[in-house]
Amino acid sequence: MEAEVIVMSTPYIARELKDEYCLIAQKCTSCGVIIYPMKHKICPSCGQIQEERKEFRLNPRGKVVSYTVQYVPGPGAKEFTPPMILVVADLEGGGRISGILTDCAPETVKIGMPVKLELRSLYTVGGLDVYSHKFVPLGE
Amino acid sequence: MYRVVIGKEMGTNVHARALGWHKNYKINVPLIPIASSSETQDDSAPRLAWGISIRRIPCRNPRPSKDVIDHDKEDERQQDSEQLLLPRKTPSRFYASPSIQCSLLTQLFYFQLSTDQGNFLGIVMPGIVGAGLHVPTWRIKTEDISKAWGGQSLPGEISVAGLDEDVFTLAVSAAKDALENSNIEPRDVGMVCINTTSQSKFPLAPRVAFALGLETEARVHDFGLSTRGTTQAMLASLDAVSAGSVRSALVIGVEVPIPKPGSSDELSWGAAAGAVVIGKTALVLAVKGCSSHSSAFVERWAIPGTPFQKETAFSRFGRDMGYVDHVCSSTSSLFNRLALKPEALKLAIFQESGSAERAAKTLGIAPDRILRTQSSRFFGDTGSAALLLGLIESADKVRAGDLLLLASYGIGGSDALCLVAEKPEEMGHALGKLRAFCERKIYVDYPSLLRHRKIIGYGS
Repeated sequence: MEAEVIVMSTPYIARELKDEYCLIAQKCTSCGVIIYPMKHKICPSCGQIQEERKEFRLNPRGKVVSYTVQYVPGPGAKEFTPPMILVVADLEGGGRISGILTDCAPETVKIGMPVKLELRSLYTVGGLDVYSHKFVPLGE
Repeated sequence: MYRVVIGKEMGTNVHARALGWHKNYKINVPLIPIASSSETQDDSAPRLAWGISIRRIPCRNPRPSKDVIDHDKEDERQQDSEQLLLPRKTPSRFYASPSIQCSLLTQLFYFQLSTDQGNFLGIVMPGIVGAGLHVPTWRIKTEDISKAWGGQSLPGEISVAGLDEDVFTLAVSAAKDALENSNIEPRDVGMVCINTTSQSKFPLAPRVAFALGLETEARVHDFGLSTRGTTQAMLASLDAVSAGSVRSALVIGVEVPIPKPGSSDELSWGAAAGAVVIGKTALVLAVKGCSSHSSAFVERWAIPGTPFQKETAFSRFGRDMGYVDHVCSSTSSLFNRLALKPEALKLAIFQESGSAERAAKTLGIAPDRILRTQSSRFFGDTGSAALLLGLIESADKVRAGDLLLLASYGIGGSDALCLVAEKPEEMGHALGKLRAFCERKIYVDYPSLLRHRKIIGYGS
């Protein structure tokens, strides 16, 4: 029997906890672009080396800029069951981030639709959930 | 000799606690005769003494009489009490602020205090500052469940947690909503109390505190195993706030139930989370008094090695000896303590159950005073969250000054709280959100329900 590998306690996931749970992004000290999750030493927009990581708290509310619906099961975790809606959204207060849209039928997604980031279980490792934020329709 | 005379009908316990545990008034009063205009139902003196932290001095109730303000008799009684109660060499330790010393010297009477009056006197009554909730989008019609099992049921629907939702995510969403609605910064919250009877893979409170961005010194408490834990969490938070240990506290009740397929619970248990913020200022609902009743009665227990529960086969026995007995005991004790009459209540919020009306009838509460919630109609019996959702729904049914009863029930007993509405309209936003949750839904079928509850598929 294959031994089950539990990776939750590995430094990678533990380090990401604050960014993932509290929606802490990184703001480039040079050009001000918002990077999420914050793990960049070099700004992907202007190439400036980040001497210190400037934290920026994201506003969970935003609007859909673009989306796609994936009907084919992906090669990732088995929890990513189709149809999976992937969206890019502009957040109020700054930041354009991509993520999964959940609690929503694929035919109801529209560009400009108000959405909100909520903490959800992304997948499980060794039976333990790994949480991150997903978009949900705001419905207002 | 300093005397504190507190009318019993004015809620001795609450005032005594507020007086004794407030950080500015750590006082030790050498003698406490308790005057009361009503016959004392229980031995208030030791409890009051405990509240004001005089633990070494034995106390007893003096003769109860109708003439509370008769000073001659009061003096006689004091001498009487002095002989009875005080050892001669009891040190008179008394360190309070000068204003309080003056008030105590001139004999202090507490009548029904509003929060503002209480603030003026330096006695701050804690209460509920704001509320929030979260309900999953997914619903199943009870007819679909009955169809799967070949039976019949009344029409209705219950909420079901999504595939990516669990007690943790629901608790975080409800808590965020509560903090947003009550305009409280996460750094001001010093305590998080969570109650759930559903399964959790890890202690919830520390992770919720982390996800909300609270200070790492915040106190975290996980209650559980009984739906009554929500009111116990509230009482613990109220005590911590009135003691001055924390500025405000967060109480969360959350349920993602996994009832046994084919059981009657499957038709009624729904998933939801409710949260309230307990604080001292800008109260929405102030707490006037509380009472508890505990026993060893068990009508429902966990089946080892499964997420399911089993309940006694004698449903009437469970209803009468469980719900009705416990709720009536805690509530009537609260009525006695506050010298309240059932007619004085504007609204009674009972723990979700078919027996609520029976308990109300026994207590003498008119049926039109019982809160019939929309949440039970659209989300089902949400267990630990039900009372908190009920509180939110009371927002448009009470006005400032109205009295509310909050009576919980769970395995082990019942807690009853009497609340005074101060600014119930402040909960309007949460109420609007609750109504939006009633409208926003996606139905699932029975196989999907089993998948959502992780009985089949991944994670099972």
